[in-house]
Amino acid sequence: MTTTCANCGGPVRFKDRFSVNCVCTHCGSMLVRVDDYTRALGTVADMPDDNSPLQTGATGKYDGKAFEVVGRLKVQYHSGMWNEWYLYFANDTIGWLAEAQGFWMLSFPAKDNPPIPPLSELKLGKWQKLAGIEYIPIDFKKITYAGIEGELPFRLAPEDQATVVDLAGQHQRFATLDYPKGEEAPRLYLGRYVHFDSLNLHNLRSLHGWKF
Amino acid sequence: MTTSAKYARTFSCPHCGGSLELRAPGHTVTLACQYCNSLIDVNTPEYKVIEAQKNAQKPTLPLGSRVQFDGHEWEIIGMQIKKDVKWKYSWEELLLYNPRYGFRWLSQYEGHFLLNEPLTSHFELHPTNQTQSWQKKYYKLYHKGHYETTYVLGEFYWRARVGDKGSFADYICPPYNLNVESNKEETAWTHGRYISRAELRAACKTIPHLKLPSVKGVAPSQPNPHKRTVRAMTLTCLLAVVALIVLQAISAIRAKEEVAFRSELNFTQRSTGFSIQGSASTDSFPTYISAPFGVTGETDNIEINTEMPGLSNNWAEVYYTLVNEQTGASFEVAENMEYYSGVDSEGSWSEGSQRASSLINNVPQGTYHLEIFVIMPQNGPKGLQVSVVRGVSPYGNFFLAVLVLCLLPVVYRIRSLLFERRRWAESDYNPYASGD
Repeated sequence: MTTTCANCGGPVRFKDRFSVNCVCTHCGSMLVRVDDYTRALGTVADMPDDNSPLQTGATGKYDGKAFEVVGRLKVQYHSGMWNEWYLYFANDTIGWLAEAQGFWMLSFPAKDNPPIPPLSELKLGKWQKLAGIEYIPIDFKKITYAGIEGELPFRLAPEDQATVVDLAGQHQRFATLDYPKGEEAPRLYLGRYVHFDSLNLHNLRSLHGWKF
Repeated sequence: MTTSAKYARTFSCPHCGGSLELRAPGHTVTLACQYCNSLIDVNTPEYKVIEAQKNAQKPTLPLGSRVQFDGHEWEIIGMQIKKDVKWKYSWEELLLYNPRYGFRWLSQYEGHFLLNEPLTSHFELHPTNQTQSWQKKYYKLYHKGHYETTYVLGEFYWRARVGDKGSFADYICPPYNLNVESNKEETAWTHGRYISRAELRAACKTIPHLKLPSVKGVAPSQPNPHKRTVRAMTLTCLLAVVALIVLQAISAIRAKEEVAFRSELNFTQRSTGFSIQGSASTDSFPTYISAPFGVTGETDNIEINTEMPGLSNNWAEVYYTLVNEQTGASFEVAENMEYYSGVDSEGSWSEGSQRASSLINNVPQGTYHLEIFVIMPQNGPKGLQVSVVRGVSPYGNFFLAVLVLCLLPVVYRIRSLLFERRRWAESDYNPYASGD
């Protein structure tokens, strides 16, 4: 879907029908989609530099399904940052590829709204059943967003905050619980740790000084 | 994508002004300046000095250099030194980075290197008392202790600083190792393997003027170099024994034993077939010379068998000279014979033998005679029976060879065990230590 930027009037294209948020490639305004026009939410901070081999526009495959990287969140916590790459799958579903501390984790929004425990019930190292499978919380982080790029499937303002809990299960299983500060409901994502080469990625960013 | 001047990739050290470049931007949280050792926080848009470090130490492999492991290239971006709080020994950990494949640790202690990979599946490990099983291998507990970080240099993806403390445990299944580290915030498992000098040199081939510390002692997860030798040696010796048995059997079947000469020599009267050199009356030990006999057959050995049925509680020295009548070549054999027997409180006993035999190799075909010279006490036996046999299949060498072949693997097995004892000597969980 193509529309125009509420701030500069430049053309804005949403690749993904789930996308709600988008950053204008012309003026850097944060836009929110309202029916078929956009509203500006303010300007996002510039994306902090990193050495990620991914970029928006990269394509790959997971579990036989093709995807394209259409957006990114740069998440910041008290001792570091990581990337959450927003994936739009060819079968019209969405996913997230997290890039943190050298690990890659691919997850999907949990289907059928499984019950989500309140944050206070989760404890480090204490097994927790999520969507019928046991997971163990491995860390709790209070986060803000240091950068937003491309499209996003939910409405996000640069000043938003949340608490996220990462959980690990058997057989490389991985889960994230996202508790936004404010009125929005918590979100559950379920997936796995993945090896970079297994994603069959193309249109990667070329990195200065690195040959692959 | 726009890049901000904040979170800069290249910048000047806020303490000494030295020019620095982030090697893992996006991951790096703290950086210790390579010029002044100041620890800099790069997690905020404007970089700030956290603290200055006084001492300066050089990493074994220079920061910024590239190494090759597991088919990928890795950049060395950080180095930390940790100390075992109780035992006071230190080891070095180099942080390796690849934008696609994440982080690895190359740790170095007394010239031994391990390449460690952070695990995502720490929860799959089953903590029992002294073993861990992971991916169908059993890891034995080698050491448990507390560490303290004493030095940091370069970049880290967490807030690394001098004075970091935690507990750790090392498990080994040579050449592999499992390691766990716990601090207030997290428990992290790594899995690694021992890197041989050859592999390390190949991995570091792009580093100029490479200087590696000399290797001391045996590392916990160092592969036992004798283990493979023991296995190969055992197999080789087993095959050799089988081959020997087959050869011996063939030689025994093919050997055609042929008696070239057999006679009975009586010292007191004239024996038919022997002439005497010297006189039996004037010379107490004459030489008896046999009649000529032919030696034929393709095999080139000769066995001289002696039997002295009259030898009893006595001794005799028998000297043979086999002389080729055509060429004059001679072959000498001596037999020291003794035989004692009796009856005591425990029953009858005997020592020595009334028989002896000797083998002579490389005896060509021809006509020979045998010269016999015997030294013995006056009450010695009255005679002897001698036979010269051609084409004997010898067993002496065979049994000696089999014995050596059986002992060799034992020797190597002992060397292998000694290596294992050295490996475990420093461990509190030494399985070879005598229990007390």
